[in-house]
Amino acid sequence: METRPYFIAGDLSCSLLVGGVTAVAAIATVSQAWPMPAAMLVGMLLGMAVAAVGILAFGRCFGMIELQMPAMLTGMLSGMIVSMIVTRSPMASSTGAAIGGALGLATFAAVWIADVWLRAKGERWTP
Amino acid sequence: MDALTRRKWDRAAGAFDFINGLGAERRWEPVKREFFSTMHGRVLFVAVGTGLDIRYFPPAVQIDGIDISDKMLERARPRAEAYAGPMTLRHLDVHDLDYPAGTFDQVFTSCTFCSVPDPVRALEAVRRVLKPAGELRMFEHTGSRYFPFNALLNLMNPIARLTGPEINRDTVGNVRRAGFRLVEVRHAYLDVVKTIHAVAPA
Ligand SMILES: C[S@@+](CC[C@H](N)C(=O)[O-])C[C@H]1O[C@@H](n2cnc3c(N)ncnc32)[C@H](O)[C@@H]1O
Repeated sequence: METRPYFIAGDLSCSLLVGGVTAVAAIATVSQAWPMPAAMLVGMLLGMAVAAVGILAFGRCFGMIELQMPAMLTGMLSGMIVSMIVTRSPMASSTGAAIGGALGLATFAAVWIADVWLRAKGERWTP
Repeated sequence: MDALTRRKWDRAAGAFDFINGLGAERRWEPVKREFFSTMHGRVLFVAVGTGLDIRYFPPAVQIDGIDISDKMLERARPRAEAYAGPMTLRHLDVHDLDYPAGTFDQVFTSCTFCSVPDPVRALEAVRRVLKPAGELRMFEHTGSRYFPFNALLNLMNPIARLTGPEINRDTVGNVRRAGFRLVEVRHAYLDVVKTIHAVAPA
């Protein structure tokens, strides 16, 4: 599992930023007039676009393959969830950013736990 | 030689070290050091790229490095010259390996089989140039068997393949399909980054 503070800080910062920025972008794009499924789809696509920028920006220092999992999942989740809420009631950007950041933290933690589990699951074939 | 693949990697060569030479190398240094420490005898290194991995090679191994991109090889040349052992570089497509059958004790790859156009045919070519019971050792990123990672990699693959590698390949399955016997697969990140140890038929 990844325990080096440098990489944990990089992966986590990227996910927090992607979550927050996606939420703010979704609030600026979607409104109560939107049908919920369309809003969620657009939110998810926004999240993927924001994550792609985040992965490019952080990738050089932290490695793209490992950044992309938590960051992409965070972007998609944050975009979908915040857009879904916004079709029901308006949301302040600061609230959205906090929700997006929290989703970034939760996604990072979930991927880290999956990594611990899957790393332990290497396979051996006996001759 | 596959002109399309060659052009794609020639284009990628200029920015390759800038993008991959810092974070990714730092991240994988411990895994790669251990991985390459098993090199011995005569080794074929498939897709040497700009030679970022050469620093991990143990000294005094006889290594033949190949790559489809001469722009990549240009950048790898000074690193190969600095290697403490006999190392040659050749501009060669892995599908067209022209070494006599049974030339190599080991074949190493590193982030290669996400990139070659026909992985099973290329692995069959690799098997031919290995000695009987010769070792195939790969450090690769592949697709995942687990949700949501598999869905995400499948979704992003069409974009990734435009500029570089495919990110959802079943490389472990391809190794089997090419006639190798798997010995061990170790996961280095999720089940996406892994080392694969396989042997050619005896
Ligand atoms: C992702 S890069 C990895 C380079 C290097 N192994 C590393 O890890 O830094 C993939 C490499 O595979 C090479 N490649 C792609 N298709 C190939 C083929 N058919 N034959 C030989 N090399 C190939 C590319 O030119 C490129 O250098």
